[in-house]
Amino acid sequence: MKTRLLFTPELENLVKKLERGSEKDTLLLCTIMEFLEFADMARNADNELNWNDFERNWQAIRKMASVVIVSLDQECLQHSLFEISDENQVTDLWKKLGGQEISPNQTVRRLILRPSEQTWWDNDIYEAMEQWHIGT
Amino acid sequence: MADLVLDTGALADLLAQYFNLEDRSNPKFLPSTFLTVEVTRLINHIVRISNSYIIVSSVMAVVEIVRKWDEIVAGRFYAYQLAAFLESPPEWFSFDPMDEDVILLFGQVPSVVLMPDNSVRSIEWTDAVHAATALGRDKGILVTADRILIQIPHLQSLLSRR
Repeated sequence: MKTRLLFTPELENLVKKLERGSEKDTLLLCTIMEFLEFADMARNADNELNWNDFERNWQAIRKMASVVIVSLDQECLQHSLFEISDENQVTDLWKKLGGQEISPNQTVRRLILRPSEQTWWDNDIYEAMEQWHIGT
Repeated sequence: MADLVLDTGALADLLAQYFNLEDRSNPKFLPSTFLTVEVTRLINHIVRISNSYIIVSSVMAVVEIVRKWDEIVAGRFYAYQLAAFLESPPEWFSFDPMDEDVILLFGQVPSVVLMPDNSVRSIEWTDAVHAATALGRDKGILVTADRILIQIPHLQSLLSRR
């Protein structure tokens, strides 16, 4: 089974219409940040998405075995926040956390998807996220 | 009493004091920029006396601290100290995740609130996460410097800054 990042247009179809692509042999991965963004739109009564519709579809998406939603938790912070030396010492904060041009949304996505020995996806997922959201 | 949910400024102040405590087994926190006398009293009660309540922050508070490290931390502690705290926080402290449960709690946070001067102010998503974290606790009091969050009607809260 393949794993790939779920991109924003696909997420929109999923969240607004519960439409999932036809790749049956692919695990679709996304971060909790994408759903927070949709939840924020719904909370603000966006014209295309009200809270009741969002909540109903969100409950259905949570049950989809082919969609993996990765959260940000304490363990993730431990693995993603820091630069680590070859001697396994924390030397500094990870360089890609901030800067004025980087939104909090993107920092959260980076922290969740940064590959490490603890993550089960490879660097391609992280790079796909960077390309999609930042274009770098 | 209740669990205290610290937002970014209050968490940074707590960490800055924690890393300089002489005796971490018997900590005593003092009022500071983002910890009022009342908030400090409640924190000290939890860490020294209460076994029923804890101090909580959303992981989003940590994200906000590291994004503005120089401005918020201002040399008061180091990255390796934060790493150690994340690895092994004291028993009276917990980090709440940004996970699937927070999404539903998000819906309980209004998009706008009415301020005392009758102006209407919107609540940004980053701030809404702190409010949702507090709402996710059976008994949770949000400690925040944000006067907008204080106006959420069904949220127990305390201002962390005068």
